[in-house]
Amino acid sequence: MIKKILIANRGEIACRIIRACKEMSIASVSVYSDVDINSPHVNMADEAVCIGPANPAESYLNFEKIIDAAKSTSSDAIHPGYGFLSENGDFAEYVADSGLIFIGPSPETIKVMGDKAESKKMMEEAGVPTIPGHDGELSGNIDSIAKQIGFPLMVKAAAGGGGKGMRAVYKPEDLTGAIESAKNEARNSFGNDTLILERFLDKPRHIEVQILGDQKGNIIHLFERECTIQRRHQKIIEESPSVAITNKLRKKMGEAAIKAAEVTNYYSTGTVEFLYQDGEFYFLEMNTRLQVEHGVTEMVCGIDLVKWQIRVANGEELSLTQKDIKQKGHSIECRIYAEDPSRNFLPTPGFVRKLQLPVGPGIRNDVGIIEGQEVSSSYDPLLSKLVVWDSNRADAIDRMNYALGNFVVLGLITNQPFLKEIISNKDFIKGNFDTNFISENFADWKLEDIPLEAIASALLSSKSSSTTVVSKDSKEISSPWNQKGHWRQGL
Amino acid sequence: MSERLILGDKSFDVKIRRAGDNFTLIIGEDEFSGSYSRMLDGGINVQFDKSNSICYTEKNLDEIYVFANGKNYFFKHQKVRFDSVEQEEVSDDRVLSPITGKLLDNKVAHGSQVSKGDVVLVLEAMKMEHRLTAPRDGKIASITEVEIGGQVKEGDFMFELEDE
Repeated sequence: MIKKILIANRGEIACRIIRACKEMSIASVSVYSDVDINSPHVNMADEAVCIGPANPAESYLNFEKIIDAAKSTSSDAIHPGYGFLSENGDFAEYVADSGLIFIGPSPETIKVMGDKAESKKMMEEAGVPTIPGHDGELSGNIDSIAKQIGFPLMVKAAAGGGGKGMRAVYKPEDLTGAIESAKNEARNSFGNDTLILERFLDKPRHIEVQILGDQKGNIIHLFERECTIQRRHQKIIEESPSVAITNKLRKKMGEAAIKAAEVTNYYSTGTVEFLYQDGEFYFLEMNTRLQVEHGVTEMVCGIDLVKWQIRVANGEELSLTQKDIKQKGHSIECRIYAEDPSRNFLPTPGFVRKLQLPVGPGIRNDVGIIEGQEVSSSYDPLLSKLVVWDSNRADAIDRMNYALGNFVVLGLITNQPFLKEIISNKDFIKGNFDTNFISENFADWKLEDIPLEAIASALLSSKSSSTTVVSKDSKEISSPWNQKGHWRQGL
Repeated sequence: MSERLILGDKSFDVKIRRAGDNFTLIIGEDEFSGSYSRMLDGGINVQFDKSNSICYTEKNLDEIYVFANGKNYFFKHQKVRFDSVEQEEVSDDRVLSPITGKLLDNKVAHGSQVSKGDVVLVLEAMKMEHRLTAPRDGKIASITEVEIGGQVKEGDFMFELEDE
């Protein structure tokens, strides 16, 4: 029986996991780096162990320090959260070899799914649709190979990366030229002119399926999440269900995800990611961990995935069957990041001087910061996940609009206003979008339309009009603000 | 005396006149009348034309963070006398750090010749790389003395090109 869990993570996900531990009356242990001493996960857990400096390699990614912390606190299990060591098969193995329970799938499963080429091959063999392509020798009748793959297709350097040696080809007659130029570029850039042909999805949606399995071989899926709204290939808004797919396709994708889980002997929670376009879906990759956006699935299915991870790690059998899982209503998540959407989503560290979270029916905050805390530049800029639920998508969007509109976070720049504009966008409301949505609609986004109230309150915030003058080099000579404020003591 | 609020590339010269709970906001030539009251949690309830909005503000030196009408705003704030409304010319040849983070790499030395777009310094914040490139062809006149792996703050001097 698991009695005490060490959480090898930080931020909102550490807090989320501690919450599950508390609800299950399991003791929790946090680990933290020097700069995280004031982070909420440190105080939330029953115990906390400092594991080193800010640099993740010396703390959150350090096998020995984490195992030592687990041993010194007599923990029986380690929950890796997401990111950091969560998809490191060697770490999972190391945990087991140390006599502790790793809360997640087996090390073998993690390793095999971490190898993109290997996992794609496995999925093909299992009959899970993958992106059609050709990675053998490009000889003989290239036209017939291309015809088999279908257009548009992508000519890619096998040794490639960074867009070099890549050509999108929309018509068969452009193929020969594209191959020639891609070959030249590949030879010059990588010293290797081997090419791969692959179907090019120019307007894909990113749709993924949540799965849950136990160590007895029972596997169920918990339907899909729509994760198409991305910036810089990272999701910022997710929802469930997806408006893009029919019930028939939903069933097919769920079955494909279960097939993927079965061939990898999967247990615990996992996510099978698909690309979807023109009625067809293709396996992209499998995430062998808890997903950032798991909350929307929990809201529509009424199931706590973290609690199930812990039960499965404990050897318990799933008490749920596929028939028990229903998608009820609609849930949306917005990720609140410390980043500036008007400056290419540059991270914006700073101090959280005020934090007031929205409350109300159907509103959930998975938050990893507290007022007064410094958001350092050492880690991922995710501050909080705002999740809403309502009986249908239109109402859920209205509720998200309300919740976002009551999310007060001052002291650093966040993407909150940007998120608010996305969920008010006509095409977003219609459900009409693909992964290019943000780059096509919000490329030069700036915060426009400053309300009078914002200007008035900025000026009203000083109690009396001051006599501050600005010298030529813009340094303030005297200002009442310089003396004020409890938060400044930490600076 | 007027005050200036700067949001991104926008700048407002504004004044406020208060009389009890009432105020007049002056933006350029325009005047707007409103009223306000303070709330126990630090909020300010601002009213224009009978519609009210609960706003919050936080200040730090010349920065004002404002929550109003459902959005969080960030202003740079200056108090200016009418006779000194002038801004320091910022030369394009001086490159400052756009972020607070770590210096990851230094690609060129003091005195080196660079072409427009060449990567000069690589910074890292929150696991993301940020490349600082030369804004034009030229010679590096001076460059940050921060060592690789060291911390840089937003606005810190990074490098400068020589006069053409």
